[in-house]
Amino acid sequence: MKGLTHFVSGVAAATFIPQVVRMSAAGRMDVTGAASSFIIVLAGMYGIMPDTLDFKVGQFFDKPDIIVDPDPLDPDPKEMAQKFAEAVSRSAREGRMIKIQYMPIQLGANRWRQYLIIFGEKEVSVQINEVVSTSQIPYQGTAPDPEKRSATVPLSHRIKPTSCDTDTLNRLVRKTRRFLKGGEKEKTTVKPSTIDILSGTTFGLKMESDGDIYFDWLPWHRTWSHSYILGLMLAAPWALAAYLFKLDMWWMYGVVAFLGFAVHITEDMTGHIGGSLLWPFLKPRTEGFEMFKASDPRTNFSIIYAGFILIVFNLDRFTTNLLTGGPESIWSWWSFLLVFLILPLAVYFKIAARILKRIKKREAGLKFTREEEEPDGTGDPVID
Amino acid sequence: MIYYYIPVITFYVLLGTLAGAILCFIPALHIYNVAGIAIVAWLTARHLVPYYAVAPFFMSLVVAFSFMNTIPMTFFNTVDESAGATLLPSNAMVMRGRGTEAAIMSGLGTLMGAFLLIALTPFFFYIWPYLAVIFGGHLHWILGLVIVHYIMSEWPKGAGRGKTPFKRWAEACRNCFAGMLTFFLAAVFGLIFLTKPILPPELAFQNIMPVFVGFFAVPSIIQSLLSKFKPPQQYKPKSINADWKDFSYGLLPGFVGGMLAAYLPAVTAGIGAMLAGHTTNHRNLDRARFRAPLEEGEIIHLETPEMYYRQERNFLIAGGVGKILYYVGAFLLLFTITELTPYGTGRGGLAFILRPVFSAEPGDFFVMASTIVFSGSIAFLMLIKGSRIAAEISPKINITVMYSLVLIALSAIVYFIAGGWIGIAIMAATTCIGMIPVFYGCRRSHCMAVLLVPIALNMAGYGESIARLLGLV
Repeated sequence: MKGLTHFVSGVAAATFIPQVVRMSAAGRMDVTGAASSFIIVLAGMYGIMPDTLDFKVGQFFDKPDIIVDPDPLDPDPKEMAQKFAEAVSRSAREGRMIKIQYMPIQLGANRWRQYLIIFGEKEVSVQINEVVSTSQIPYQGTAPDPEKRSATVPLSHRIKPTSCDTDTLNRLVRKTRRFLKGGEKEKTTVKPSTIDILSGTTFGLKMESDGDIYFDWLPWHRTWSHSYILGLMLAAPWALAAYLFKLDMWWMYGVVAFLGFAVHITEDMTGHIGGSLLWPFLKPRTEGFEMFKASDPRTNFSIIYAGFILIVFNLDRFTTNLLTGGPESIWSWWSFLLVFLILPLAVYFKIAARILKRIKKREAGLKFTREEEEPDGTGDPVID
Repeated sequence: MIYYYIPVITFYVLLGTLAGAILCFIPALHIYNVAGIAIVAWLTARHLVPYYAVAPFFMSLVVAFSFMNTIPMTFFNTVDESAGATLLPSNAMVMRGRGTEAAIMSGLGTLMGAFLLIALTPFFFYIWPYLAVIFGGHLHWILGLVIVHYIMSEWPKGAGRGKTPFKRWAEACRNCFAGMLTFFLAAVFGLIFLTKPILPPELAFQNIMPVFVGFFAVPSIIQSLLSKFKPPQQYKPKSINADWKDFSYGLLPGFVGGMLAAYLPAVTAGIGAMLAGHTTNHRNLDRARFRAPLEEGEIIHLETPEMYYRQERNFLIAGGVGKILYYVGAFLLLFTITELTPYGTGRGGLAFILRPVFSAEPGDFFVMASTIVFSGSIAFLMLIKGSRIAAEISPKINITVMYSLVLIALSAIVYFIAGGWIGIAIMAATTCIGMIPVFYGCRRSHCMAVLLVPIALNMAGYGESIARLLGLV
């Protein structure tokens, strides 16, 4: 999910703790325990922390075995595809994960050469596309000449998107997922990748017991950084600092920080990639429940909106008692949630469904079958 | 009696509209600076303006400014912090000769925002006061959240090239480090500056002027001079390439960003637009699609969905909506007088400046709403004409000479109304900080830490302790 979604979710979760809301209220308010605390900020900060660790630190310290850095003036699709084929062969030969990183082709402050990598079962194609802006809008007429545009190279082994060498936790997640979704289609093809703006992308390739190569997209993402154990370790210093500064309810600082971190990891488990939940005790990445796509705007928007309404709800019922009528007034609670949460979201999903219907109608005419994924778990590039 | 007031108020609304339209041509000035200049002008002629016309005059000034500053922003590449959010799309369109379209699209967004402000009247009176009271005691940590998200959500812009992991990390994260440095320096500067103001109390509202000119206006001008920006010949369009869908898609991010900026102190439209963009971007509903090659050498057909192209237009329209909700909405909220909010909920530079000289009364809201519609309609017509004239003359103007003159004019304004040589020294110091984003490609809005951090700390009641810690008191 987007960074802001995790951020708001973490804050919303923290506001469910009455003591946290009361100690955060300004000292001038007529609220017992009001202390103008910034404790809730910890929930937001730790809500975005796992992706910060990955995208600002982890990815640069995870050394790839092969780097493909195309010539900006004359990118060679054949050579780029051959590098991937070489990585597949190396993985089979050496029996370990080989990481290959494709770098972006930057041509100017707001100009990037886009290229596509398309994976077949036993071949890989690279196509050089138009120059695009940082908003990923193509500049017309900038595609290279047809003879320099695309190339396909055969692979020595079959590549597959799902691992067969799984641990107990992964098998349990798969069982639960099948139970929740009522069975699932087996994934056979690896999704294509577009490389254009900002940083590139990394693929991990690993020979498995069935003789095929498991294709792991962003092998550095959602590993050590998405662990409840790490969350505990990173939250503990806040509790310790609060204790040393003799703050009231010092342990709550650790709890709130961990809550933000844990909400992020749990939300990510609803997606496809999952996380290394118990790192360092159990290192492999556990798959997600595949309930939502992390980049789906409907999921992100509805969670952010719900988070905002729940924050208002909690602030009011623990401090001002204007809308929710205080802790005794259960009926006010439900009417508040019905009017401000359930009904607006119902209207929103109705509108989103109409837009999607229109898109699908248009697609039926296009007959374009495969779709592009956007990177998972990152914030959208911001232009300002 | 009322028949006597209407023509007088109408006269001052027209005067305010004209003043706003003229002031916006001092490029890159922040709305706070403009409000400051206007109040200086008003203070010298206060006996000429009747008390009941003061608020409509200033309201029409801000309305006209929010429409008309689209012109220098689009054609002359000069932006204040808030307008920076829409800079890239309008720049790109100017470079394709479509500057007039960009300006009118943004102006239509602003017009839509003006009508939205009127349509939101029930919301302002029946829901907004509750939200204002509920959040009123929690603003310090909400600003803390804005700060934390703002810093943490700036992702690396470098590709991460380098021989060692450390070099890869340093290369990729240069913009993040620069952003943090800018934020830190601006915050320290803000703490010092707001604790030790340079101007006498009677000109306290101008205190921030040299700071904003240094942080935003001067770096923007230097950037334009360095980049040798030269607009090409512009088309004269008879229509704009946007439909109702674009306007409906742009409405939500504009509303969210504008309201965030209108309500939260020191959160400007630029920061609001960033948060709103993260919340409401629905581009991924429609993904890029392609048909794989059937044989080697065949070109893969990539279909970029319309939503990707639409994003550019949405950006401009949402920017226009957000801009008026921020500039005008923040002032309008001063007039939402209810039992819960007897002093209104107005924020922003103008509300702050006017509070000592003017107090809102029940019923004023509707005068202000009428002013917005009247002044907004005139300003929009002026924008259409003005953008056509600007499109005509911008390729012919010597941009280097123009920017040099603007720089001199800004320095003169700072010298004469914001502290003399001390004001100039402050402007120079903040320019140095404001140039970091220009050179390292980080967010320009980091400079807003000059207000964000001191305000958050003061709201929590820690301002004095921090000032003592820094040896300022």
